[in-house]
Amino acid sequence: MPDLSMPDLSKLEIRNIRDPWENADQRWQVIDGAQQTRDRTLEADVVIIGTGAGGGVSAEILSQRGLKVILVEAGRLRSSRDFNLDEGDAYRHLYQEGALRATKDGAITILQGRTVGGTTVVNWTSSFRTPEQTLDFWQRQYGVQGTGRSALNPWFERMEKRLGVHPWQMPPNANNDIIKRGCEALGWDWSVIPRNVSGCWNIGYCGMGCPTNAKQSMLVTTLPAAMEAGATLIHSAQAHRLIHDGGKVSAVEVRPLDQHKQPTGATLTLKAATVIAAGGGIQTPALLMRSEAPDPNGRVGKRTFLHVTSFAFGHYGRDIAPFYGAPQSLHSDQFTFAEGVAGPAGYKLEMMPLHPGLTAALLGSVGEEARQRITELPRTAASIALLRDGFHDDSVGGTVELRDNGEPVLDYPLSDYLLDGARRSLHSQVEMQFAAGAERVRPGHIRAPYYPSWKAARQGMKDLAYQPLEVALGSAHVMGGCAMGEDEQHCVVDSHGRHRQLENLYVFDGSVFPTSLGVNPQLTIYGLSARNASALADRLKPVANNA
Amino acid sequence: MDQGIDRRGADRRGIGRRGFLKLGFWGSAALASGAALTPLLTGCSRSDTPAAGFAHLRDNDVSLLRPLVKPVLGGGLAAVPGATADDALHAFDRLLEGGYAGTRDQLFQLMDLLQLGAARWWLTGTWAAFADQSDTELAATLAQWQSKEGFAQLAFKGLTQPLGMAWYVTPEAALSTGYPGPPRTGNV
Repeated sequence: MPDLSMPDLSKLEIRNIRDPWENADQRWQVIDGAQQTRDRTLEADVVIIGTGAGGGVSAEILSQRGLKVILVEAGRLRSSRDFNLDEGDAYRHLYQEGALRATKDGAITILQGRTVGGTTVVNWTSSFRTPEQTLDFWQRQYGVQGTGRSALNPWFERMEKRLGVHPWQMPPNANNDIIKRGCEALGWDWSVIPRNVSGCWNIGYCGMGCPTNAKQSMLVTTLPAAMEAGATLIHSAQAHRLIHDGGKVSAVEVRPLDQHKQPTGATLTLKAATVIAAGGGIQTPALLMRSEAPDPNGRVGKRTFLHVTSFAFGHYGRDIAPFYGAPQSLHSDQFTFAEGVAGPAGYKLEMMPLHPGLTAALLGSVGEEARQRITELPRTAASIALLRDGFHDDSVGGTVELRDNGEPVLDYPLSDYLLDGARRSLHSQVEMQFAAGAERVRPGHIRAPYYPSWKAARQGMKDLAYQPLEVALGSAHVMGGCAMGEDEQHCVVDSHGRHRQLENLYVFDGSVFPTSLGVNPQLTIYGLSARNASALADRLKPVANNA
Repeated sequence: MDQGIDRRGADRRGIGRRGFLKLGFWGSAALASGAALTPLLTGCSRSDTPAAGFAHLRDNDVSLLRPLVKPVLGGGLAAVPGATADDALHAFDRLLEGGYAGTRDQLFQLMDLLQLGAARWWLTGTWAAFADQSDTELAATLAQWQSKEGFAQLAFKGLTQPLGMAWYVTPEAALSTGYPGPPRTGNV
């Protein structure tokens, strides 16, 4: 007899979903890099490198102003008709480095999207406005102008409306309910997460490409709108370098990639009066480095932040089914700014969905212990804590480096400051999960067992060494590396994303953040990019008309 | 109840982050400890050709990993009727397909290193080739390896974590965890 308390969506049929990319080749200008074997030159008003949060928003705004836009994306075009909810296929096709990306010393696993629509296709839909404390800090420390919360609010409102952002209306899944139960028992803050979904089926596969197109990612919103307005998309094509004379970019050199992500051997040269880099953290700094873009103060790729994330796993005497249901619907800001914006590392508490492959990697271990842990998956809940990095002198983030073959790698040394934050964040998560009724809880640490009580956990966790590779750490938010602001010593671009030395180059993505945020970053990228792209459109449109 | 950061681990293993960076990744590690021994111990040259039926793993990698699969996955392999160690290695190979060439190279360097008895002793605590150890001996070797710190821990994680992940992303192994599986889309 099946356990009737256990949700089972494996019989659910998802059929007849309208895919905005159906017959795209016939309606729109789509170029598949895999089919490009001869050198070509294309021209446009604006070339946008990257199709994620920054590139998608910029493409819609600029195309609808009548500017000729070419979008370049390293990932292949995949849409709802391709999303099969197979975990392995999702990592292989939709994630940077097939979800094998990690920091240089292997201590932090990094989940980042690589597909048309970028990370917005695989994120868990949490949509927060940038905290005021963060924006004030940018203004104070980096002289960032025009990013006060009241100045940005109209842009957040615009993007919330565009992408259907609303606090989640349905009950949380059992995994997210841990936040409510635990925080209420402890008297901690918690609230409902705003999500960018429309008609969500509440199935829980946001991280594998939404099969129902409910998630309002760039793939189903701004990008189809840009295509409809005449934009050209070149997918399976990696922007290799910017061609410039030290003061101005004249073209982007692009390498088309075959089905195995290998260069076809051809070169596409994209000429444009304006170029927008929107590859996101790691990719955008790497492009500037490969291009030998002017960087008089050596700032490109520096101060790259991750919201370094710790994990805790709870076992409950009932089914949690952490693989089903909206993956993130509740959160707690009890500790996000508890010690001030620049004090000991603050952290935001959320939950994460668990599917078997990623869970096996996160739970670690081998042999019977590993098997035991993974077979308890249906009754396991997973909390996460996102550490705010970049707000303290001892939290300088990581540095993007290039391998000899041009591949980027992030060197992110874990300071004592962050490891102390990881330790405190594990305490909070373990305490919260016991308060929520867990029978056993294990902090994400290779030496930690499942503790049978909060008392035992509090005692046992004192003996753990909080060291890189011992504490399990991950990241799904890569930010910084091309900081914006008016401080020329520290900022690669100005407060509106314009490069300080290459006058027609703009950076519209999360790499412009001077620090991390303290919230999931998508709405901040949408809002800032909408503001910056609109200002750019205002400047360019008369030029385009005269041309 | 703050205990501060425990630095004892770093001191005990005598290789803090600074030392590790100086050492570099597997490549430099091989140079420092094993590469000089390579011609003496094995006399074999490094191959870049994938094994038959594989896109990335080479013959040497397949022979190295095959005996490890069962002890690493515990009952995970037997939980899928008819599954063989090579099925898990093909899953591993598919996982690597998504990675950067540079990342795969690091893994290959680690596996080359593990061909050397001296390196196995340094990393896992035993000289014997994995293929010459029984499943019980391998389980003990893995436990010993897992308990080590610093570079050996990194090597342990670098090899076993992707193997576990690769296995459990396969639909058959995923179902063996109690996960009922995803909704049906009709997409392939």
